[in-house]
Amino acid sequence: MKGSVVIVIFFVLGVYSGMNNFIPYSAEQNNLSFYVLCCLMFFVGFSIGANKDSLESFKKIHPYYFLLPVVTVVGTLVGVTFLSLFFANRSLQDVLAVGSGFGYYSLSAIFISKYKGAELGTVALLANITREILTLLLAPLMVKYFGRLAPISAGGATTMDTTLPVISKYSGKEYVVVSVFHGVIVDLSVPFLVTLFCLL
Amino acid sequence: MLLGVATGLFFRRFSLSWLQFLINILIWLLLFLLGLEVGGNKHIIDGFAELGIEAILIGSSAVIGSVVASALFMRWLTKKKGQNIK
Repeated sequence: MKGSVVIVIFFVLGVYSGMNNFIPYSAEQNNLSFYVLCCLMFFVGFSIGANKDSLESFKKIHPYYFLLPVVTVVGTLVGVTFLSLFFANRSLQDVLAVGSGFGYYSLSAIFISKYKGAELGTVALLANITREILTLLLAPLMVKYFGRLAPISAGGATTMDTTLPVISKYSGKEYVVVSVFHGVIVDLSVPFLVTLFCLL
Repeated sequence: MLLGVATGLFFRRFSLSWLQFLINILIWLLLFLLGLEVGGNKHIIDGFAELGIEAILIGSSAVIGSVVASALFMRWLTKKKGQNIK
């Protein structure tokens, strides 16, 4: 939660500076954010690869749970597709691209603004922050009505870090390893799926 | 990203805390740049409330979709494995 507040503060600072032209910067004229994004992707990958504990513990997971990331991805895409039936002003691909952020707001917002412009990027940022906040707030209700895997699915790519504490608390400690595994896999799917739906 | 995973495998003893810090700095920088772009675009600023509502709807439907899917998956699991699933 604290992390997302800091992120929003940086975003708002950027908006404010942009509105007042404090910093002469034009996204069309330079590729600074693309290079920073490449660095970021490298380090995110690095942190997954270097995390020995998580890679070791995945061996203990029951094989059926390997399907959970797929369940999350399919459920999310079906959910947003259903919504897009009522959205006249956005194409299905746009909505699917935003949905494919799976709560990874920083990364998906940057990717989408690269491919589809800052407007949809802003939607992606806010939509995926919404997802994380809903998971944090509603985890106990999700467990009660939809089972112990529900907050893990709802958390999407965030279940290896920001939403892990609430999952451990409400789904139970025995689901922590499943949750981290799920987070890593969904995390890795974000750049691929977002790019795919942006290019469709 | 995959290159990073591969490199990470070779540097397992690396301290992860500075790495997390570095990732945070990069994310902050990128979000600031996105904000700059948004702030410089009058069209987006004018429609911000509308974009926010749209975003909340997409976020909520993504959560509902995945939660329902996980409930169906849970039911399938219990059927499949009986009492063996923790």
